[in-house]
Amino acid sequence: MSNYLRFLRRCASVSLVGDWRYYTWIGALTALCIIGLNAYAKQVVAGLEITGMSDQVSWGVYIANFTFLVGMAAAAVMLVIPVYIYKNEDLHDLVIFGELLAVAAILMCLAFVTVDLGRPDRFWHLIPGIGVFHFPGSMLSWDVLVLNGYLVLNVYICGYLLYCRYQNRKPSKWLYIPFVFAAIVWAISIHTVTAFLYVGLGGRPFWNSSIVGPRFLASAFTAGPAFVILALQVVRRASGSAKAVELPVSEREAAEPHMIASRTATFEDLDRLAKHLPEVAAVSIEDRRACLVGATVLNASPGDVLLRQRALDNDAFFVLTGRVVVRRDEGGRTRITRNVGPGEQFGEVSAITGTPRVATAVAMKPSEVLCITADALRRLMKTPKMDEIISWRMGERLMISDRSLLILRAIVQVSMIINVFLLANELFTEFYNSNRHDISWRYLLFGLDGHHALVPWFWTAITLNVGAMVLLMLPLSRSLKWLNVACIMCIFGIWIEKGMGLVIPGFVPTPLGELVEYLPTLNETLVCIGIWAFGLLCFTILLRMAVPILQGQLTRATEP
Amino acid sequence: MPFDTEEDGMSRRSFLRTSTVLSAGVAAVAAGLAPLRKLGEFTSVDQFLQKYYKELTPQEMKTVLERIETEVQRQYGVRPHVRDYKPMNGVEYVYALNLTRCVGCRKCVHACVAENNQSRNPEIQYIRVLKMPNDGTFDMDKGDHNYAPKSVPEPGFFFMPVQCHQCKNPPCVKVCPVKATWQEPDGITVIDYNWCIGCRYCEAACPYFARRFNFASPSIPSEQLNTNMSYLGNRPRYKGVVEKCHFCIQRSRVGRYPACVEVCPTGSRKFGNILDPKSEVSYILKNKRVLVLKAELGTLPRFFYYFDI
Amino acid sequence: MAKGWQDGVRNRPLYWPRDYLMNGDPKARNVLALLTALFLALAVGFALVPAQPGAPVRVPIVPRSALAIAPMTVRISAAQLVKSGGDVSGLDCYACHHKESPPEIKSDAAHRIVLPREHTDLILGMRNCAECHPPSDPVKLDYDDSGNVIVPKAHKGLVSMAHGRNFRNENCYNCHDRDQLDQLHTPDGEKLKFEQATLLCASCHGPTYRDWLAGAHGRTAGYWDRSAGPIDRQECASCHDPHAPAFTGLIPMPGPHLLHPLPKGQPAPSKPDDHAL
Repeated sequence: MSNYLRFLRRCASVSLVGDWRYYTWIGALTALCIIGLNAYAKQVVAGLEITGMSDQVSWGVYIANFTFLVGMAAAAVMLVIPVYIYKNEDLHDLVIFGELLAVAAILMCLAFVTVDLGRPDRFWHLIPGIGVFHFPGSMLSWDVLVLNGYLVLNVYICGYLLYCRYQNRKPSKWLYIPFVFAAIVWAISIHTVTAFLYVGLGGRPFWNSSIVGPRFLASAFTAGPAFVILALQVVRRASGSAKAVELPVSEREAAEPHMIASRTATFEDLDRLAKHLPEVAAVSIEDRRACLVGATVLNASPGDVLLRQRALDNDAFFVLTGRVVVRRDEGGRTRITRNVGPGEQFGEVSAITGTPRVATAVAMKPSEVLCITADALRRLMKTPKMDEIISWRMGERLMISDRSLLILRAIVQVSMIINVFLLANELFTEFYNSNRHDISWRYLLFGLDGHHALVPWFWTAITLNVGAMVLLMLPLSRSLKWLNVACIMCIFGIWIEKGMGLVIPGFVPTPLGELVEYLPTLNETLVCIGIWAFGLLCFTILLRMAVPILQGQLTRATEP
Repeated sequence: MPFDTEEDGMSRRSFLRTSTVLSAGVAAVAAGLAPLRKLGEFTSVDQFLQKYYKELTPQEMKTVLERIETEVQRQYGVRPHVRDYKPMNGVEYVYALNLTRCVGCRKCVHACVAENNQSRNPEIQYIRVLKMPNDGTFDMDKGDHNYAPKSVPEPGFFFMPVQCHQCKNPPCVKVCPVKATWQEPDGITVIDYNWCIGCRYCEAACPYFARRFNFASPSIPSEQLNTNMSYLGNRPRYKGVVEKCHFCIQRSRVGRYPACVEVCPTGSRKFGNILDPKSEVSYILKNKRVLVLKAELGTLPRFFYYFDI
Repeated sequence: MAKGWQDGVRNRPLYWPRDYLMNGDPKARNVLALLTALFLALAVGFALVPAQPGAPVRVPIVPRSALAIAPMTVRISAAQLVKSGGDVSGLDCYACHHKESPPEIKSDAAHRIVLPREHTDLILGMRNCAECHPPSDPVKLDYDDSGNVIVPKAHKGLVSMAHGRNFRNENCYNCHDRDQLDQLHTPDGEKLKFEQATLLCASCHGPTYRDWLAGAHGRTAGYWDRSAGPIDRQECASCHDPHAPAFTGLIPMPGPHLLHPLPKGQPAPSKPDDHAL
C-alpha cells in the first residue's frame, strides 16, 4: 500500500514539473477552467435562463458537446480492438493513450451533463438504492450506468497497467484482459445508449430514425482516432527535444561501441544477471555455456554509445548494473523510447529480426552490460520462460511509430467513408419522397421561413467531412502534414455535425410547429470552454504521468 | 548518486515557486465562485434531503406540507393551504375540446396561469392555442401561435388549444431517469417538484409541447397568488424543475372543474369522469366525431378534440 | 558535485528537462510569474465584475379581472329574471300593448324585420337607439310605397333581427304568441312561458338541445362530481340573445412570449411557409 501511495505521490509531483511550454499550456488551461467555473457559478445563481435554451429548444451546446465527447470516449477505446483482437503490436502502447483520452473525455461528459441539470444539487436522486433509479425504462439511467462504469473500467485498466509498468512487473492477464474486453463492449455500448437517448423519442421525427445509432458510431470512430493521431504526435514531439541533442563529450568522441572497455563474459555474469532476471535460472547449463560463446561484458561510462541507430550489428544486450537510455531519431527529433536498468534488455529487436538498429543506446550511469550474439539470444530463448520474458519486454516500449499513425489513419478513413455514406442515406430518404418528416432537415440545410442560423454551420460541416474523406482516400494523406489537416477537418466537421447538426434541429420546429432558433449566450460558451479546458488539462496531466512510466523513466527502480 | 537524471519532482525552491502560482490559482478559483454568495434560498437541508413522494409516510408528508406553506409565506407574504389531494376512486379523467366552438380568445391560457400560480416572468403557460387554417389540413406546422387580431374568431381559421394530454402511454414518464413524473390512478400525469433534477428529457420526449421548465426563479405577483394549493399541482415551483398541466388537481380531485373549463366563454371545454356513463365526456366520446393529435405515436391521449355534429 | 554533472559535462536526459526552475531557467520562471499575475488578475476581475445576467424579456402582467366572462356571452335572460325573482316589470307586455290589437311587424324593402325602438334595450341588449338618437328627438320612420320601412345605410345590421340565416325567421310571431304576448309558442302551437324558453329553442335546435342536456354544449362550471357540489349550467338565453344569438368577436388575450429576446434580424416564430407540398 505504501508503495502505491509513493507511486501516486511521484506521479503527482511529476505532473507539476515541466518546461516553460508545459507551464504555459497548463496555466492557460487552468485560467480557462477558472473562467468557466465562474460562468457556471453565475448560472447556478441565475438559473438556466442565462443560457440560450428555452422551452422550444430545451437542449443546447451542453448536450451537443456531451454527445460529441461520448463518441470520442468510445472511439478512444477503439484502438484496443486491433491490439487485443487482431494482435497488432504497433498499437500496443497506444492503448494506454486511448484509454487516458477516454478517461478525460468521460470526465468532460459528466461535467457537461452536470452543468445542464436544472437541479444539480439533486444528483443523489440518481444513485440506485439511495435515490430512485428508473432502470431499465429510461435511457438516461442506462447512460448514467454505462458512462460511470466506463470511467471506472478505464481508470482501473490504465491504473493497473501503469502501476505494473512502474513496478516493472508483468501485469497478470486475468486482472486486466477481461476488463479490456469489457471496455471494448462498453465503448460500443456507451455510444449506442447515447444514440438511443435520441432515437427513442417518437415525438421527434428528426431523431426517431434507426440510422441515428450507426451514424453516431461512424462519426465517433472518425473523430476519436483522428484526435488520437493528433495527440500522439504532440506526445511524440513533447517527449523529444527540439534543440539539437547535447551530447556528452565522451559520446562525441566515442565512435564505435567496441571502443568501450570490455571483457569476456563468465558464468558469474550470468548469475549476476539472474539476480535481476530470475528467468535466467531456468536456462540449462548447456544453453548457458553455448550463449557465453562470443559474449562480452562492456564497462560503459556515462555517455558511452552502446548501439547506434541504423547500424547493422545485431548483438543483444542485457544490463547488469547501472542504467542505459535508449532513444530514437525521428525526423530530426530525438526521443527516448526506454530507460533500462539491471536485468532488462536492449538491442534484441535487431538480434531477433535481423533489421538495422532501430535506436541508439547510451549509458546514463557507469554500467556493466552483457553483450551476447544473436545466436546466443536465440539459444536462450529456447527456454520458454526466457522467451516469454524477452518477448514481453520487447513489446513493452513506447514507440509511437509512423506506422501506428497510419493504422489509425486507416480507421479514420474507413469510418469517415461510412459516415458520409450514412449521411447520404439520410438525405435521400428525407428528400426523395418529400413529406412532413423532412422539415427539420430543411431547416438545417436551407433554412425555414427566414430562420437559417444553422445553414452555414451545416454546409461547413458537410464540406469538411467530404473534404476529409477525399483527402484521406488520397495517398497524399499518408504524409503527416496532410494527415493532420485531414484529422482537424474530421474533428471539426463531426463536432459541428453531431452537435449543431443533430441536437438542435431535433427541436426546430417544435412538436407544435413553432420555429424558435437557438443561439448560445456568452456565459454558456464560457462554461463550455471551461469544461473543454478541464478535459484537456486532465488529459495533459494524465499523459504527463503516463509517458515517463511507459518510457521507463518513472519506475520503482528510480525512486530516490 | 552523483548522476541521477531521473526527474522526480522538484527541489524546495521550485516547490515554493510553484506554490505561489498555486495559491494565486486558488485565489482566482475562490473569487470565481464568488457569485454563489447570492445563492440565498436555493435549497434548505430539509428540502435537499426530502424523500421521494411515494416513499413519504403521511406524517412526513404533513411535515413537508407545513414546510412548503412556511416557504411560500416567507416568499409571498401570505400563508397558503397546501394539501396532498389523493386520487378519487373509480375516476379517470378525460378532457374534450369542441373545435367548432373554440374562438381562440385565450382566456383558458390566462385562467390557468392565475389558478396554477405559474411564473409571469419568465412566462410559463401550460396551454398553447394554435390558429389553424381551414384548408383541409391538421398539420400543426401551419399553426400560428402568435395571432393577435382585433377580434377572434377569424373567418377561414379554426383554433386549437393544446395542453398536456395526460396520455395513457406517456413518453415523458418513460424517459424520466428518477421517476419524478408518473401517472396517477385517475389518469393525471404528475410531477414531484422536489424530486425533479431538471434534466429536461421529458420536455424533449413530449410530442405535444406540453411541458415547461423553470429557466429562472418563477415570479408571481403576491396579490395574484392562488392560496388553494396542492402538493402535486399548483404550489409555486422552484427554479430548475419541470412543470405542466395537471388538470387542476386542487380542483378536479375535490370534484370541481378545472379553471380552463370554467372560464371558457363559449363552452368549448369539457371535462369529467369517463368511467361515469352519465358524464358529458362519456356522451361526447360516444356520440361525437372525436380525434386525437398524433395518434400514430401511440401515446393514447386522454384529450379529445370533437366537432359539434 | 552538483546533480546532473559528470566530469564537467552536463548530462541531461532527453526528456521534459527536470526542474528548469532549479536550474534557473528564466523562461520557466517568467512563465510562472506571468501565470501568478494572470490568476491574481482573474481573481480581481471576478471580484469586481458583478454577476448580472442579461435582462430577460419583460412580460406585462395580465390582471385577473381580464379573465371575467364578457357580458355579451352571459346575459340575464327573462327566465333567469323570473327564477331569481327580480324586477319583471319590463316583461309586462300589456302595459303598453292591447290584447285585441297585437303590434304590427315592420319590415324593410328586403323583408327583414325592423325592430321597434321601444324594445331596443330589451331585445338588442347591445345597442340602444338612445346611444345616437336622444329621446328628445324621436326617430321618424320613412316608408316606401309598399309600406316597408326604409332603413338608412348606417343602420344596416343594427336594427334588424339576426336570428336565422337566409332570413328565414323574419317574423316575430314565429316565437312570440300574437294573441298572448306574455308567452311564447313553438312552431306546432305548444304554448310556453318565458321561463321555458329553452324548450322553444329546442323545438328547432334539436341536436344542440340534446348536447346541452348531456352537458356537451354550453359552459359547464362548478362541480363535475355532483355528489360533491352543484354544477353551474346556463340556459340557452343566458348566453345567446334570442334576437341575435350568434356571438360577436372577442378581443384575444395576449399570446405567448419567448424566453429570450429575438436577435436582431431574426423573424418572429411565425408559422412556416407551405413549401409546395
